[in-house]
Amino acid sequence: MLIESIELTMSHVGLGHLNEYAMLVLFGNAHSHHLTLNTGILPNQIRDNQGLVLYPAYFMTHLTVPPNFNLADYKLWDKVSVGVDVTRFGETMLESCYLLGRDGEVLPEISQWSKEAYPYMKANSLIIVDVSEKNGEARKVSVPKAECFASLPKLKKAPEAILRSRNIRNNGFGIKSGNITMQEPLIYHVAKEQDAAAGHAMMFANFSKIMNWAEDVILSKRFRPGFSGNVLQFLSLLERETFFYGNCFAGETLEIYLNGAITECAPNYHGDSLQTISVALLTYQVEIYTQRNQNLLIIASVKKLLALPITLQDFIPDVQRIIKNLKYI
Amino acid sequence: MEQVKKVINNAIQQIQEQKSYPVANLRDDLRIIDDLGFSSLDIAQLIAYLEMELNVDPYANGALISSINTVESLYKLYQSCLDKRNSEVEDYE
Repeated sequence: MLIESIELTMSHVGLGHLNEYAMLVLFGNAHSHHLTLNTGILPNQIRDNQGLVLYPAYFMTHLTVPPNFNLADYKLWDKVSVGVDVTRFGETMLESCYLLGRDGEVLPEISQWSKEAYPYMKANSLIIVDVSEKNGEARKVSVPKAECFASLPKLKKAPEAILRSRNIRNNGFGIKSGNITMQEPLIYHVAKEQDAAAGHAMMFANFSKIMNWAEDVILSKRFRPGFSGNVLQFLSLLERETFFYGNCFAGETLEIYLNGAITECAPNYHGDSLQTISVALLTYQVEIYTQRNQNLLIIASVKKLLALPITLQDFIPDVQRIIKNLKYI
Repeated sequence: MEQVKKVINNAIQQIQEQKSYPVANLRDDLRIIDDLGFSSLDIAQLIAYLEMELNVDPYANGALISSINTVESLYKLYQSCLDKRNSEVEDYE
């Protein structure tokens, strides 16, 4: 178990506030730090017996954020606590969990962590050879040298994510197409440095950015009338479960398929706050493929809450009317 | 060796079944990646299963995962690891 106290700097949140991407990066950093805990080496010095550089590649992440937790309350220069705990299954598979709160709020016992009060993530990863060194090859698992890796408790049974990963690949999440369906995929170009560092595979957190981009395009541009940007900025993540089956490099073109529904919800879905009115729930499944060879990269399920500040209540009838009459163009 | 073979075959078949591609005849000369189509996730799972079932870990003792080629190479790797451990126990006794 490792708890890090981190100041939210401009490299995390720009001039703004905490968001999903920044939080995933904080979790990823804490994970890497945990893997080299008490070894005296840096995460980029994890090597196997052949001297190859290794790193943990997530094959599943499952992030949940309580409806009454507002990431925007965590602003530039605020201090946060990130807790991470990692266990090992065999030599090359890891299971990890994470919690984020204000400085000092993450307790040192995992049994005391409250998923109902704070953002929480469970994840599984494989320790693989850094593909940046052998660009284009399929990822290969490898075992880190003992002196390069923290001593981690071992799981006695296989992580559930293994079977679930196979099931999701076979069947998807079973989210039925409601009022959000697509007749053709969205196209996304993976930009060098913006989405993926030159010569390196794309970082896991970037897929969330791409999913958010796709969702925004569909809700604001592919439906007429679409949802206003003034409204969509108040969509907040409740849950994102992502299974990673491949990765890509800068320069790749991706095809994104998204289906699901946006439906009205109870006005107090978010909790007791009278400053906010819950309006709608957005639920969808997303699949991302490389365009050139139709390789599956990820399948994810996403659940978001649209809750407007009371000062924007005039927009609520617009949202309700648009939901009833959604038309894809 | 028979016991090791049985455990390894069982582990491979379990993973194959999870992938919905059961292998009817698991031959010694089949290659784990090229013939059975094991992905990195499958190999990680296989290694963990074998560590739990056989209670030995060849890779923590320097063996390379890249040395895994055929089913037979797995038998030999784990059998030699078990033999080594048994001889160490005898020496100790």
